[in-house]
Amino acid sequence: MRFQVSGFRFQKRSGSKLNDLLISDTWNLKPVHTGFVLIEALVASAIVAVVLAGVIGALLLTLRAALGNNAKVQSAFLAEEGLEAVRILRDDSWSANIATHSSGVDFYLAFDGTTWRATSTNAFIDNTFERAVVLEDVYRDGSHDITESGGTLDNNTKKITVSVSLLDHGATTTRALSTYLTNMFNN
Amino acid sequence: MAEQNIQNRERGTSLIEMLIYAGILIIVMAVVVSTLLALSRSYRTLSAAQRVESAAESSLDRILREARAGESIDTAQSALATSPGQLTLNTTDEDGAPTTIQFFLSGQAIHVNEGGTYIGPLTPTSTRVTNLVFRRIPTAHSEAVKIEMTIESGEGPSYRSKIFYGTAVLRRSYTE
Repeated sequence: MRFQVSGFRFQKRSGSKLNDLLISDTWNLKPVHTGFVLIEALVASAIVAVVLAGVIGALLLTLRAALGNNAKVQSAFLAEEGLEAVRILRDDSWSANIATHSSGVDFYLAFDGTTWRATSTNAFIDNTFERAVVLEDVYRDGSHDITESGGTLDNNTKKITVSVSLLDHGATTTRALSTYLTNMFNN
Repeated sequence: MAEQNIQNRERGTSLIEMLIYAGILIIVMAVVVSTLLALSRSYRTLSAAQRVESAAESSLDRILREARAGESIDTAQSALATSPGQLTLNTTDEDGAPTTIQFFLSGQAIHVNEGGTYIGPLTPTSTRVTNLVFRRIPTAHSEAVKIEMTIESGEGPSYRSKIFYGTAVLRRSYTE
């Protein structure tokens, strides 16, 4: 009777009755070093498992980033559309659509079937994207250039910022586009 | 003497060891094969997503650019607020001569006509445009067009479908 585990060969010197098997003194524990043994096979498969886990993890990360790119393209178009929609509001009426918004306060855009309208209700686009518009006051210095600090308020120019946010794996990604619009039609 | 005898007979691998090794090999192979299968599946999903993306970027971008450069929308030659939609823009060519540019859906691809002459498709045959709607937006001083399109690609588990929106004010439509 013999068997081998973890580089040790257990072998029974004498006796084959059940009683003899249970008496440990009669077992001879002897190390052997012939070829691959079980523990080495286990270590090898553990290494293979760790390497595979790493490769799969890296692939999943790549896949997530690549699939997330679709949403980025969609949000880029939505941000661009937002700027054009504010331009449409300006073309219709500066005093009714643009001048009424307080500087720095978010509003949203909704299509009523015919044209774009400003609204205070935040409705997610396709239940995924949140698009907010903010208008900011513009100040000009002595030579009529736009200035970040000081200067005099120009009521006929606004800085428009459209930001599109989307929830991506528990984190919100926001991309923003901005431009200046003027009351060029004096309407 | 008896011990020497036993050792000689024991050289090599025992049956139980063989079975354990074979078991480990089977598990490792199963993991490797399932990884390879998942890999090819994700590759198909990825390329479907990439096709949708590039079709949307090239077609919607082209339509928006042409709309921005346009003078007016030819409502008689356009199918507005419906899918499949058709958009005909009165515009000018590179020499400044008046011409028209027309976008329409045919065989699940967006095609373009310039001055009444067929130019070609804007989206590849590997993608399907299932929804294309143009809406004319009149304003007090200009006109604009709103576009929505749904592009899909791939089959079964690698199926991808995305909706893209765009609006452009026709810059040459401005009047005082």
